[in-house]
Amino acid sequence: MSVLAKRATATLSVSASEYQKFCEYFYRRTGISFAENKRYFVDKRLIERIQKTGASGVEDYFERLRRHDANGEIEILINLLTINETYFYREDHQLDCLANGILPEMVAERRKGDRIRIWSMPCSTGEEPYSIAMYLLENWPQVDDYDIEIMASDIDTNVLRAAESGVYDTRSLHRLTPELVRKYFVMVGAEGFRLIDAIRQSVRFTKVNASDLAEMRGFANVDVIFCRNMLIYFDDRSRRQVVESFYDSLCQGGFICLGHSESMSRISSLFEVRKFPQAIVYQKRGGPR
Amino acid sequence: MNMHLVIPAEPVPEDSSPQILVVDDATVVRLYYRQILEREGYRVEEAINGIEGLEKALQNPFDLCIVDVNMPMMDGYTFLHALRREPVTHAMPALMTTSEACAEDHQTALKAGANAYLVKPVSRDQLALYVAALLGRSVT
Amino acid sequence: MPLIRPGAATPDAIAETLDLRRDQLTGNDADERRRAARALSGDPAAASVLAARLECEPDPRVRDALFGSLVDIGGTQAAELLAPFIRNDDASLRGGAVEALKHLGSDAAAVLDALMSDSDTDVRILAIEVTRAWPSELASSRLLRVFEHEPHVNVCAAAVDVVTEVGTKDLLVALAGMRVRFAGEPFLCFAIDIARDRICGDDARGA
Repeated sequence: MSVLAKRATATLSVSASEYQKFCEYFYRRTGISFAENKRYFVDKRLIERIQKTGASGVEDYFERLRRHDANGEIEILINLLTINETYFYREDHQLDCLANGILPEMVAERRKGDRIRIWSMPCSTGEEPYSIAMYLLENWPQVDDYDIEIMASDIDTNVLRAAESGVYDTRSLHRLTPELVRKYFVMVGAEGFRLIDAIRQSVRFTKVNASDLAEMRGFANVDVIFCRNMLIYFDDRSRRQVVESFYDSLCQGGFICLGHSESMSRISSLFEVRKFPQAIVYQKRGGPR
Repeated sequence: MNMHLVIPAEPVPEDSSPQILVVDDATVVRLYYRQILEREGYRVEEAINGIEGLEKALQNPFDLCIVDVNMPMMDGYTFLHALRREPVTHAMPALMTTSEACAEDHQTALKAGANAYLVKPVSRDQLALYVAALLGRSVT
Repeated sequence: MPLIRPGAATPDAIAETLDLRRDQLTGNDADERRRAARALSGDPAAASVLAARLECEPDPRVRDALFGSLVDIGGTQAAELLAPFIRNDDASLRGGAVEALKHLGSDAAAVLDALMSDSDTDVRILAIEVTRAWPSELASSRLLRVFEHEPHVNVCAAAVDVVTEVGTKDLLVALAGMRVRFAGEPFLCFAIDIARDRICGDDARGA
């Protein structure tokens, strides 16, 4: 009996070699590596996808995965294998980088009163753009010297609506100190926390599809883009296109911050890698090398 | 083959094994070097192209990097130029590998900022020797 | 900057636009050159203009746009224009060409078959790397040819790295044969053992 026929009747499992092969491929495509102790976590989801796609086994599924016209299979897998949640002050070392690295460097060449445009895309239910506003007020001494414009966009009108209402539960606030909660939120109902008006009004929300070139062209002269944990879920071609749109939206010297475990290394060489003490970010810098 | 040795400023502490960054887009090459280097007692991290290599080099205190020439997104020479521009990685010993063997490429490697240059396929002994020498250690 | 209106363009207007873009591609401003390159994305009439600019464009971001626009044009036309860059002295142009050719799928098969028979080992190595993006049925015969006939160890190694990902069991015999052929090359033997393990996919091989 052939190996494949045997497998079809037995319970699906992933051998050590198959796991290695998958990890090597996945790392090459996405930059994501799995620690030894993630074996069970990965196997379970691989088997789930093998069954859902009707593949005859690991080998067959792997070949489907490799095909770049594969109906978004690798994106589905990435979704299953990564955890994406949103809350206030998530990955705050990047907010620290903004307040203590990026902005001070940037305003060295600006005049007081100049506008600084920051774009949170995707903004989801608003925790990120509001966090930017709060963090800068709390931690950037020069925050009042400049006209800070915070734009926030998402493709999903439901999350935008929620973001505009500015009401959150304790889960969203778990990284905030009690002092910050007291200062920036008021209780609504038994368990809701509503952002104070000053913060809610400091962010402008718009519906934008990152893959829509015309919509993206509506954003220009942006100084800093926060695009965290979105690109990883796009297919290669769309991802490149979005990054090019971001590049066009940024002014010369503008910055883009990706998610903590994301990298431009699988996406594009358009940006220059910049190291700040708090984080690695990417900068639009022209000129010969 | 000429080699420009970089002697580290301080002696390497006995109890912390050197960390080496391997930048090569071929999986089997990274596995091969990993096996050799780990057996020599080094810790190894990998990157698949120059951008990933640069990101990792900027964030971690590597004692040495091994970098191939031909890689997608950012080739080895561009990686080295960037490495040498950044204060935090400016002095990191860099061993360049290539499948090319002519003298001109040797010069290009050194000009880009490599400290030494090896032609693939790299043997176990060659790799161990060059790495040890670039780290200022004697070979066991 | 003039906009290109979709649909109703006359042949004269199209030629005029291409002339305009061609001029912009040689301007002093890299951002403008990049925009011009992107504006020509997917325009078959612009293919040779894009390739010609790649020969002399120094800015990596403009090169990136030129490659991208050629990929969007696609087909054997783009493949034939991209193939010569595999031989370029500039490593980043070589790399850009490899990545671009990967996007063209079987349209690039004919040019790649020629490159895989090139007398220059580095050209053969880079050409083989493109097959990593191919479905197994397209890549297998090319890899088999390397395993059975390729004399240079580094070219074989490139094919072995691809086959760890792309390989199917029908290549195992040829891999075993190559291992005998190159018994004195420890790296290649190591690589072949890895490839065989990944292709076999079960634990029977042992440590």
